[in-house]
Amino acid sequence: MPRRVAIISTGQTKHRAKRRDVNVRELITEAVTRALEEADIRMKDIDAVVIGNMEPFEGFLFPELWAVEGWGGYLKPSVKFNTGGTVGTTTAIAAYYYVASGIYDVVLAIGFEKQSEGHTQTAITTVGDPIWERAIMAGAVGNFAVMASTYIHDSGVTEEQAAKVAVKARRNACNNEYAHLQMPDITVEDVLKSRMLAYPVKLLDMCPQSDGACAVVFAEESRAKQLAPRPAWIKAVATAHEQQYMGDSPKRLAAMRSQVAASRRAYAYAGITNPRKELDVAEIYEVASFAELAMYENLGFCERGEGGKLIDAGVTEMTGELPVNPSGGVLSTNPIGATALIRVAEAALQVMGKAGKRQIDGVRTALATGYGGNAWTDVMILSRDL
Amino acid sequence: MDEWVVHQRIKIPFMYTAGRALTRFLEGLARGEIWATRCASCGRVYLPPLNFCGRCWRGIDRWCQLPPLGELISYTIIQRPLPEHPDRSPLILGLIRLDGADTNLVHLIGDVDPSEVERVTRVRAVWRDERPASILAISHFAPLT
Ligand SMILES: [Zn+2]
Repeated sequence: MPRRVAIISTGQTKHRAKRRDVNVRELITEAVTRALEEADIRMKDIDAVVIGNMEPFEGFLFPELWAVEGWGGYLKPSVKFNTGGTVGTTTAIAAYYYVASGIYDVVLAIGFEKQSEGHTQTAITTVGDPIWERAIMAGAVGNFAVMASTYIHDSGVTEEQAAKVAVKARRNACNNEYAHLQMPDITVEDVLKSRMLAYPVKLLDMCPQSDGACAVVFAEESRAKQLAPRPAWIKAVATAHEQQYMGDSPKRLAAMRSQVAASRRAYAYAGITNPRKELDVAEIYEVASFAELAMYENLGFCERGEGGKLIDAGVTEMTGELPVNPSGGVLSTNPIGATALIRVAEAALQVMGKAGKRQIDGVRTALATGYGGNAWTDVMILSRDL
Repeated sequence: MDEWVVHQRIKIPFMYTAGRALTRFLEGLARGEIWATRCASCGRVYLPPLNFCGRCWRGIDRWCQLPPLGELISYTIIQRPLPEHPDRSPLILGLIRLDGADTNLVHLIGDVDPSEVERVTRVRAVWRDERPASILAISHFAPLT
């Protein structure tokens, strides 16, 4: 039997387009120091560290190497992860496995990225299959636009409905002191009129590129109870991956098989039969406005083809039945190696009642997801109840 | 059938922010000075300077200037430099412990014939006339005579 595991604290940097005031090491230390202070523990209380980063987005290999002194890795048991967009949730799930296994009691998970210093779109280009797709495809936006276009066709979702997601994210971000894009006055019109990147995706439909780091501390039951007044207990983790060819992408967003599989598996572990009713908040990895609508469907928040209606009805707004991304989500903050870990941290903050101005009242159960490599999904469910 | 290979090439430009401690270090090099930091807790003298001691998990704010003198701990002679190496052949790479530092520095050893370098124990930094804010503000280390 796995041991019970909880998140006891989190720490984030100020996420910005460019953090020229700090190097990679100083950026990571900023997040880690906050997470340790939050739990009132010292680095010596950490038994092992798992660190995640999406190289070569910085443009070079092993950006964590010169930062070891700043993330606590010095002579400690540690492993580095890189699984693309999901790296942050992979790192969180690895920390969970470490603690649940009984090998370590307190584990620190870190995600970081300085996207401003490398060339992300070029690096992403190398995920295209060298023989089948690399000669035709490049970067992330075009690939994503094909998926969004198919989703529009299949579901009847509109550009206006997607724009509402983009507006919700940037307005929610105004309540999050760590968020990168805070746009209190943004309107649906602004999104629709923003520069067309590739139909149907416009500039304000896409996530930004950010510099930032996130740290989350995981602990086994007795340490968690001792160190946190209200830990966020992990009720379920699940991962699902699928093959990579872009040619199969149309159905990846509209009916993302890995997200359906992983979420259903996690719901089953956690005993959730009606996610819209039983989840109190969700922090999902929505790379673009259209993706969030499709993810409502894939995660079972609504029926197939109903994603647009869910945003129209305000269900996922801060005041709705199931608020999605009170933090502002990926559409507001995207330091890739940290992005999915931020979903976990934000879900944990909601459960712990520490989300400040973005707190949803009475959260007992929260969902966090990661998305990457075009169609890989990680899911974590957190609860106030042991 | 022939073996088919697809040849591809990508170019990834990148930059690296020096950060708070290393910015001060680089500015020192441009002035012909070598600055390190000392952890108040463990006493370790970091070169390149860190503003945070990961072993003690505390910030460092004590700066100390080191002399451009040190011990040649070890060396090798690179007979065929790669395109990424500075342009000298054969190239003597030395491991230098500056006086007062707890860490070693890799730099070029010059002004000595490769066959003679084994006798060298003490070295001094030879500064360039035009010093960039870079470790290359030091042209090389030469035997101290
Ligand atoms: Zn120290």
